[in-house]
Amino acid sequence: MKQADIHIFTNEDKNRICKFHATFLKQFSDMKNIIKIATIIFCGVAFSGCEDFLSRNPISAASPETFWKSKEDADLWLAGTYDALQTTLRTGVLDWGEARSDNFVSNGVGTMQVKVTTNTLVAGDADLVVLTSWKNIYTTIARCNFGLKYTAKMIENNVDGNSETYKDYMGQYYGLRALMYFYATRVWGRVPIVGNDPIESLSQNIYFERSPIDSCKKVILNDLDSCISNISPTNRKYYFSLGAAYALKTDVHMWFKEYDLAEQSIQKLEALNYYKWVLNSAEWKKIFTEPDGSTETIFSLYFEQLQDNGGSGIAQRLGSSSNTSTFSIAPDLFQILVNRNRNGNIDTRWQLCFDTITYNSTQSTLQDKCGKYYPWDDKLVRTGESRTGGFVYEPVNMCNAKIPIYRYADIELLKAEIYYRRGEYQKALNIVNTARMRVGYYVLAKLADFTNPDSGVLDCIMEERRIEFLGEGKRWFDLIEVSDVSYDYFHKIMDPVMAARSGSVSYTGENEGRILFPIESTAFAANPLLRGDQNLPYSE
Amino acid sequence: MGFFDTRKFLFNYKNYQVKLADMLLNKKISCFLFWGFIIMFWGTPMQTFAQKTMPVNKVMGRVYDENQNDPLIGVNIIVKGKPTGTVSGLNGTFSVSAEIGDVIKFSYIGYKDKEIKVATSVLNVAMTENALKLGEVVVEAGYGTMKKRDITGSIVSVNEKEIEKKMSVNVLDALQGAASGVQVSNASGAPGEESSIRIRGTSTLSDDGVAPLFIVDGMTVDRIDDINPNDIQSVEVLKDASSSAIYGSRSANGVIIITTKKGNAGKPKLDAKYLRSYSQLSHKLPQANSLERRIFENRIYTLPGVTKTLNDSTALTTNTDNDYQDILTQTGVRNQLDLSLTGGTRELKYFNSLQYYDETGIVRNSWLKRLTGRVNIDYVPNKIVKTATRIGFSKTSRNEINEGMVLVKALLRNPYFILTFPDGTPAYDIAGQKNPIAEEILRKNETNQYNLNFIEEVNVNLGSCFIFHTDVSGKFDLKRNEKFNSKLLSTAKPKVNSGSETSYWNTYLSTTSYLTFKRKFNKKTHAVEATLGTSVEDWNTIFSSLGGINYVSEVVTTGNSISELDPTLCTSNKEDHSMIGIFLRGRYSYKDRYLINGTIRRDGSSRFGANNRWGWFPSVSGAWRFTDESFANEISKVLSDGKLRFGWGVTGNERIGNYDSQNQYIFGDYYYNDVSGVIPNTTLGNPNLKWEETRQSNVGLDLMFLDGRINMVVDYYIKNTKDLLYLTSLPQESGFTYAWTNFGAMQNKGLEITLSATPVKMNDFSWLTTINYSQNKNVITDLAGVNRADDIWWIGEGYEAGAFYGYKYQGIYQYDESNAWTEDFKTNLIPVFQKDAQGNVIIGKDRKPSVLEYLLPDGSSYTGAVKSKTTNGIVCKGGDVIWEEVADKNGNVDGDVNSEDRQVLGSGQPKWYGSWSNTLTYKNFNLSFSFYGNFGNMIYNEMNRNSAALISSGSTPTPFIVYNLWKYPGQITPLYNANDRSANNARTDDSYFLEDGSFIRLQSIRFGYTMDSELIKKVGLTAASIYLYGNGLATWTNYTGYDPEVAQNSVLKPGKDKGRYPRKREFGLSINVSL
Repeated sequence: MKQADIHIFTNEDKNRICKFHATFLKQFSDMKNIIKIATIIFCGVAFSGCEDFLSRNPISAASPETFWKSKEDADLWLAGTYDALQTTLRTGVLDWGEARSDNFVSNGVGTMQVKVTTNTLVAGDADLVVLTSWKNIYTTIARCNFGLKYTAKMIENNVDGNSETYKDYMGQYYGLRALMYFYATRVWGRVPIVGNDPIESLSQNIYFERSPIDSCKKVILNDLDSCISNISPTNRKYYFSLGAAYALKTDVHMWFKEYDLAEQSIQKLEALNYYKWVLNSAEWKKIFTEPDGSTETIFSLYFEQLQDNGGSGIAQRLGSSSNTSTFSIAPDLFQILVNRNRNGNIDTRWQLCFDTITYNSTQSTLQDKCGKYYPWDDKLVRTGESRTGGFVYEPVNMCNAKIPIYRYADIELLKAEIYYRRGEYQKALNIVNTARMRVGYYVLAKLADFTNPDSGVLDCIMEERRIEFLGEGKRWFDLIEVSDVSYDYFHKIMDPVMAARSGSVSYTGENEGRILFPIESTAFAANPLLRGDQNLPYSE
Repeated sequence: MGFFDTRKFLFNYKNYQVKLADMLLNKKISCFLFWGFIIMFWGTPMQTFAQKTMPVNKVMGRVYDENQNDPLIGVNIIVKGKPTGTVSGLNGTFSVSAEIGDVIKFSYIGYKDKEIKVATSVLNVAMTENALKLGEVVVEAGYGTMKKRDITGSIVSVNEKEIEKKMSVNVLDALQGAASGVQVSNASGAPGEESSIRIRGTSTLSDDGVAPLFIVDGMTVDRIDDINPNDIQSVEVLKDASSSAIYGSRSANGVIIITTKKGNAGKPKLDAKYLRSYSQLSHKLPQANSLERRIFENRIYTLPGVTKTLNDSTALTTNTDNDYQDILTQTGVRNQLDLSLTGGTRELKYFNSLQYYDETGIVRNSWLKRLTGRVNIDYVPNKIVKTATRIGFSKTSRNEINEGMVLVKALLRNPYFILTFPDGTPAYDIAGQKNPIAEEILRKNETNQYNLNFIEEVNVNLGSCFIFHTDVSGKFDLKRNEKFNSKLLSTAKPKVNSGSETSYWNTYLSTTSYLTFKRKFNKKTHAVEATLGTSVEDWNTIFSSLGGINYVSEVVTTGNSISELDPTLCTSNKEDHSMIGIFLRGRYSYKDRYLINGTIRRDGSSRFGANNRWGWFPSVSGAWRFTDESFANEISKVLSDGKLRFGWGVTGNERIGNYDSQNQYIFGDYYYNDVSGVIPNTTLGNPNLKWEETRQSNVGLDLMFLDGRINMVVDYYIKNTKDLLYLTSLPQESGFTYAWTNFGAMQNKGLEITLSATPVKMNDFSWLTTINYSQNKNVITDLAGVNRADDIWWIGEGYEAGAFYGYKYQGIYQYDESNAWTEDFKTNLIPVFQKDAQGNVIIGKDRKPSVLEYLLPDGSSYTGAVKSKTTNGIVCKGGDVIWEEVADKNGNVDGDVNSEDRQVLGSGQPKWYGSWSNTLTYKNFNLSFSFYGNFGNMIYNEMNRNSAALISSGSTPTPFIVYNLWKYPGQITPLYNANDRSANNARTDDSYFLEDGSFIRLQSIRFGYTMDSELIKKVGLTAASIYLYGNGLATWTNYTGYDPEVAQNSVLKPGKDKGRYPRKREFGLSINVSL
């Protein structure tokens, strides 16, 4: 190959190159220069210009510095907080509030439901993490704490002139935080109180020990007070509202047996005039299928399967189109409903919750599914049958069921308990009867029917609650709430149930401690302050 | 522009680097700057130094290997005392100007120099291999090369011949067993499955950090499975810190340098290879047939949901007998065509290659198609400038089957369930049991990947001592995955189809420059070399995805067909990452006898907090060639060469997420009531994050006996890692799940031995054998006290990473009464039952036998109180597992088996591994075969557990389990009573499911025949050979799953066999021809 073929320089250039090479080589023979050059390169590159090149910030994520600048930001954080609430309660509502009670029996072939219904919970069992871990609860609390800290700043700076909205959001954060602590307290007893500051750095204190019940109660009630003073009085169903705050407050006072305070809350709730008993069975069904429009809904948790990674856990736990459910309704409870539908009587809650075409027997029948949350379709084709009609179940991972957290009947039936506590039995029974009549059951409870009204009326209220809130995560807490310090009512109901279940552990002796849930093992690994403080008789 | 001022350039070096950085960062300056820069070099005036003297005479001839008769290409040929010389070309031919009486010197790497006095004008020169001179072979050592002889650290080189012998699909496959200290494990037999590789154990806790750094032709890459193994010239593995510290922050797990082939000067040479192979499932697992399933149903009918099924003609869905493994698998076929074209002139050499690879897997509907191309050009216009261009591209298409839904489900499905209804639709869901064949065929998971990488490098010889190197490299990677699940696979009512498409677009740009000074002083007794350089790197990743349900048509499976978008699947994001490194290396040797090597690197990474961005990585190493000392003269006949090496260095690890040091608010998947919410990232940012630091010391010994007949390399190392990058679990109460922290310490110690020998070397026959032995002991030395169990593994101080943890299985209680223990719960008592005259145990009306007395294990009668053990408070019965209890601090056990009775059960990492490879040559025949083995590790057989746990009523256990589940009091059997679940007998962390994972495998065997060159010439070819080969033909192991080679890519959770794509046994034929 000839030089000229690829030579693109002029002759002058060439001469300069040659000349340069000569001087260059001469220079390099001088070691001092080499060192000088080396130092320049080494230090130069090391200490200038590079820092900018190396500072990279997340491209597809916001940061605390870039966020909290507008009302939209505040809206988005609120949605993120409710998203955590969804994660917490999608199966938590039933797992914590009902699964271990006499309402459910184990169904399907998993091991989780067997352990739950036989009272053999274990702290370190992967199958049970969903029940024993409080991680999701604290994640929700953390998001509330972030929201409270930064929304307060936004109010301070009057961002977008929306301070009223931000105040309402703060009210919601307080309310949700109270709800989370209340769940935690009911499930595990003493729980850590993490304070108001969100964790934003490892240099903050990230370890908290379990606080006494009194402190937990104080935090819950303080939060509720802050909630009530901030939250907007709008009547809304899918967001925490003033009504929800009063409902929760009632529930908290009932739990701690402060009946007068509970009654005051109920009065405030009633004074809002938002909530009323539904009028008939069709409306009753809509509490579950269309909670948004129901007068009984106080707070329901919204779920949409495409947005919420498969949606709520109702299908998984109570019945789905694609799988057997984890739990089915206890035969004795089903039998109560069957009996209420005999001799010309009807309690439509039977038909509205169960497939009475298949399960119309007078015998105790093991129900495989509960259709409470799904509409009934008369035209639905039944496989292998000439009869039509059925619940429109949703697949496990495509469940749109909205979960009721509080509704009017709940609060009213708590009021019935308050009347009962005061000996105003008839007033208590009136509420029970109102609940019955709206679903077509006109067999009314009369005081005269009870030979021993002191226990009979309570049983009557509890049975009504059991039927009314079947599949809503109330029964387990109810059993504890109405019991005295020796868990009298709880033992009365649960001891025979456990004795009848094979392979189960009773709640007697040291196993009475099992009324609380075990704290999940990994919590101890990550937090040394918890060690040695497991709920007994569970091991860490 | 136009004029090249080297001085100015060097003084503006800083600016240059910053500008590069600027460009990479802001993309303000166009790429033309770089290309212009390259062209400048290319355009540098040519200077021909060769003096032209008119030939008086011309000597022609051929140079070849005296043993193999192979032509030697590229032999240096100089006429002594004259300025003439040449290089032998293709077929070893040369032509040089020389006169009769001149002495011509032939020299070639790895061969003894030969001098010949010219007598005739035709010379045929046979050269002899020189084992000592093999040390002259140049190996890549990072930012430059060094002679193998001068290595002071621990570097292993694997050359093209060794890679070729294995007929492997990818580079990592070829490296398995090829070098000590390098552990390659391939977790499955799926087409295109990536292997995992570890060098000298694991020195970090995070899975992303264990892979070595891969450097291909000077460019950093993340994966090398798209490189055609036939393109590879050599692979260098930098094992110890003194070798790899020059790569600083990412070299803690070793560095693998891959060099692709260069062109050879000469006429174009075309090589063509065609390979075809057939493969089959190498090991079929026992599976229950219909009869066994029915036996199971009859015996286990009290299990909830398990009912006896009809098997007469009215039973539509339950009246067949499937052998699922037979139905799912097929004979896999591999077709491979390789073409390469090489040639060129002294100035310009090229190597082009093209490979088409097509494999259908042994599981239907799994396949891989790959097209790989490469263009390597070396241009040496003059003695000053040398440029190299390396361009590689590949297109890979692959369909993967869902192993969990196909293989795992198939092993559990009822054998009598039908697969298709009479109308031809698949019987997808019978009693919750999915149809694995429908899953296999109807689920689409296709990935198309396009990859382009290039590197442009320029080396400038700045006089006799200085060489300046600069390069620009880039890599563009587009990966698109399409998933689609047909309606037929839906259990929803009404049925829905679903799918998604995701794209990843990765770009990488980098530039590296270094200046090397090389000089020998004082009659070449002192050799000094120094290198100073920098590298700037920039990564960008874009991800986007689209997904939803209810596709308009099942024929169209792209996003436009989706009628209902899933907002959580419709997302995209972008990330970046950058690094800057400055490095300095010095080498000194005295008479090649005393060698010293030192490096220092300073690295900055964008991943760390602003305060800890930069880290220092020094190393020092030395070697002593003691056979050069006078005292060694006497043994030099036996010990031809001996070198003692020692090295120490600090290396780093920066493999965490790109923004893990920062607090982030994320969004996209957190909807509530139609509002897409924002949440804090579950990983809390840690601005104090810094490098993970590994300090490694290495002592090595290289010995060569009998002029190279026996070679031995021994290395011992200790690797201490501190400030481990660890994804620490935060207290759940904090609201965050994790934070990356620098945490704890870990140690690896190991010994590596490589022994290679040529036991037989005759004219026609030779045998070369190599043994590699590696052992590594890993221990977590410090964990700041947070020992914990993670699933079935233990993470704790004093234990290795990935130790299995759980309950120790000790057998099954025969009777309820067998649960009888002494008062301290330490000794299991033996009940003595009342028996009839025939010796049968009498069962009373209460359905229980009556116990006469209890015996101690030694046969003596026990009189003390008899205690029963409980598990989690429930009294154990006959048919329950006997678990070992762990004694507390005072040596007591409490009689209740609970989570505190878990213990470390075995190791997930092999204690040692090794290989034995052989090559035998007889005339034109050659045979090579190699064995590979892992020893001392346990495998958790999850498939066996799935089978034994009877998770679902429809799942069918293996025949062994069917026959051996505990069914009646008194039965002696290894398996529990499946009807009673209260004691949680089928727990996951049961040592019963741990098996010995040791194995020896006949990894590859190849038999070849090379055609006689004279014969070949007649048909116009220059070379031709034919090979028969087999891979994975035999495995010796006690493991009962598909294959004992399970993925080792999880540091803390190794050795779990989830039922991956099974291994294959492959036979093939390959024909190679050269034109």
